[in-house]
Amino acid sequence: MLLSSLAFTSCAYIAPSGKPISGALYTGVTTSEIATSNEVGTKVGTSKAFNILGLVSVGEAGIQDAAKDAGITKISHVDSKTTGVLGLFTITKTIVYGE
Amino acid sequence: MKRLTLSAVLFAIALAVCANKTEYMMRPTADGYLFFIMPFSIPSEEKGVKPLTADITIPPNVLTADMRITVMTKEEAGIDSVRISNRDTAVTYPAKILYAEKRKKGWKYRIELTLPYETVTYIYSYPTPYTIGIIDGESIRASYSPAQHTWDKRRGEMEELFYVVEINKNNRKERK
Repeated sequence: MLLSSLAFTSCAYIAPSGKPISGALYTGVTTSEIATSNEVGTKVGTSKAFNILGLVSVGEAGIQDAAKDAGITKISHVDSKTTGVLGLFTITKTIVYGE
Repeated sequence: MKRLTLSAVLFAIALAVCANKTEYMMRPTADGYLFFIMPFSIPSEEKGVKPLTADITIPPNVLTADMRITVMTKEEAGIDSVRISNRDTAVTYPAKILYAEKRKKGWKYRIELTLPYETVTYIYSYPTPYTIGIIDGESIRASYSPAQHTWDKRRGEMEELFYVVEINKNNRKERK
């Protein structure tokens, strides 16, 4: 019953890029958001946001937030990592690489 | 309804446990592999003080490690260095403030410091947890230290990571 109710709810997580990447039971996905011609560099910054029960979403998972956290001014590429269980709890992390 | 609540609580616990695990990313660069240890939190030794969040980047040369720390303070601080200590050793490294933000209840500081890679491996080889002291001028403004059980778990995970770093460093040498 729980599974069928989840299947018909609208609490699926949508990635910043607009790609729906959530699994019904568990999500543990890393996807690429953007890549530039800049070299990978030696700095990595992260930002994250939470979604609880599909009702409340909080956090700052922006590319700028992640770049600011590591002092990155030249972005090489951006990954997005999503972890979620049953669509009830989701954490999305934006990981920015650059110099 | 009870079952749903119970499931929600159990999954929240599972997620919290997953979040506590040391995660790292490994990315190829022109000079070798870059390792990034995802942010982890360290509780304050004082009650009522928010934990700090730190992450570690190990550049391809594997000679140094960059540690970036987010710390919340009630008052404005002039953070200039960070002291890392355990029962045997205490080392102090200069810290650079990346940014400072005024929040509702105090200040948020993002600082970075570079330490020798060997220091990081030494710290994590020690059986008792280290203490991180945030230094403002002459005095330690706040101290943070992980609990022993968290430390035991993290130490094992970090030792595994150091092994992976070493293997990739050696592979690169052989290829050259």
